Amino acid sequence: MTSVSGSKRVIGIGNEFRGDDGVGPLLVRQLRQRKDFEKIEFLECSGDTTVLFEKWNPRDEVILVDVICSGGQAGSIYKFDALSAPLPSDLFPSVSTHVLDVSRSIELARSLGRLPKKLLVFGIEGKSFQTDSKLNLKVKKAMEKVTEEIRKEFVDYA
Amino acid sequence: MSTRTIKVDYLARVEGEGALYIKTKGKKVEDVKLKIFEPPRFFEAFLQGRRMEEAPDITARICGICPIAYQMSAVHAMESICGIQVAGPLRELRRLMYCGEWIESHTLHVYLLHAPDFLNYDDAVQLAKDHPQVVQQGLELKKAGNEMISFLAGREIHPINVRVGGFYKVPGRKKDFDPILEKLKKARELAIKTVKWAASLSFPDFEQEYEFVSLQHPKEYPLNEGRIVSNKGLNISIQEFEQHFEEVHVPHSNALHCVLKIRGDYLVGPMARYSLNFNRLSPLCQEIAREVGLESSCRNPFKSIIVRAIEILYACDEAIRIMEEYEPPDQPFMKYELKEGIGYGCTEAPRGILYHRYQVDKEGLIVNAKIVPPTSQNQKRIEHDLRSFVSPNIDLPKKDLTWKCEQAIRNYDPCISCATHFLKLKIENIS
Repeated sequence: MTSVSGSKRVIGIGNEFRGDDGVGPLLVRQLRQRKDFEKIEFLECSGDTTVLFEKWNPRDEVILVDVICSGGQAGSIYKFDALSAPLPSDLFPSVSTHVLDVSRSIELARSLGRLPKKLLVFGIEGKSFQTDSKLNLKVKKAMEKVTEEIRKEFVDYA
Repeated sequence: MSTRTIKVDYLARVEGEGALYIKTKGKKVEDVKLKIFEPPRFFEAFLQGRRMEEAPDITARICGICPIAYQMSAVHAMESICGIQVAGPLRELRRLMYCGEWIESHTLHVYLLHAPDFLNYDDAVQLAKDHPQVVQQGLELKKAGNEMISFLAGREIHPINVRVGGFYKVPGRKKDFDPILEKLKKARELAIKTVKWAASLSFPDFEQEYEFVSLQHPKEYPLNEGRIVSNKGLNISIQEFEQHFEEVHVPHSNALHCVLKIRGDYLVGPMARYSLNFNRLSPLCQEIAREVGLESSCRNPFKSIIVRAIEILYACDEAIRIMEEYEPPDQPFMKYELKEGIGYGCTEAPRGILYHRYQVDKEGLIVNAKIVPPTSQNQKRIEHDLRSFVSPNIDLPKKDLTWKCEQAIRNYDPCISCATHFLKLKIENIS
């Protein structure tokens, strides 16, 4: 639902069939079921991230959740305010040269004046991206922490 | 006499991973290698033993940017074994779906991958900072193509509605197309602007002599059907492909190079289609091409951006025609009986002809498969063009020459991921 003041949206980015890459969509599906998050709109983005900005309106407050592939410890959580500075592009892997990764997609939105009112990005360090593998336990644990962060941003201060 | 080596270890803005190696001695180009180090994916191998009905869904995974092309070549091949030919509204729907793929694939390349080269930007994000309206125009056009594919095929990436014999589900009424039709009419206007804008860019003088190869159909600009022809006299059925073309493994690449047995390298893709089929473009496309000064044959690979823009316009025009004339078919697919045999499919992917051949047993299981993507057919020609391109530019500073070589490769919109699907692997243990 879009009000005059905009919506609160959480967008989970990733491929659920690629192990830890599915953390974004899986988190979104969990939160969508919860009554305490019922005023939030949840979206999944498993394909082309080139035009992420088409998933929000200028007055919206948006949180993106995506996996990070930096070689760091699985389950590490990163939080970025994407309005104040570009995301470090080396943390968010590009799956193809025919789509823009999350960091460049946000910069494209910035160039086109299509950023929302608020844009936070949570990255969870993944470990395994094999086809059809389950989420790493540390990644699963990190989902709980990110859930609490989303609650603080979108529910507790609503 | 000095020797220079130009190495680009990772080509940006091409699908997959590739590298370029050029060695010069004085003003002479000694060696050119387009190195592919994308890991091969063995699709031809793991298709063996699968059911023939699975071929479109499996082969669609070869490429995220041209899955429709793989599905079309696969179903045509299987249908030829079963002795059926999809016609009427189902045939038109296949053309319509292919139009959607051409629009989104060509638009992506024109605006996000190729345009930055002509305007001296590192990438589309930088281009968007100074020319937001240009990039926005491209994104709107791409969106129209994506929405067409989603509407007909179920989803944009790895579509799910294509099957042997037709589709799982088709629009029940002509008016079901109305929302998409309106978007395509707007897209057509954007496509006209795209042609005019592309034609206004600056191009180096680099005309080459090509053997162009494409499909040719008696009545229409080729998408799904036709004979394989060239501007040097080739005119064969798709069943004769392997009698005239062969794949060769080269040491520096994971991808096989495909060559004409009697004449070597050749070129497939938009320039080939355009040059061999100009008079089958819609009247609007021919008019706009003439208006911007593009002749009926294009032999400058840098001007391929204009030709792609013309094809985007054609795809919009053709899509509108099909939607306006649509009559729902009686059934979403034709019935068929499983047969054993060998079947052939060859359709025009955005990057050029995509050839499939399958042998199927009496149980309907795939015995063997051969897939020849367009980029593997162009690789030898790309190396040839680089050899010609580097020589007159040899005095440029290395950084500038490197950048120009990268741009030259991007002229062909190579889909390196498609071209490395198969390799005969031999392991030799030297102890």
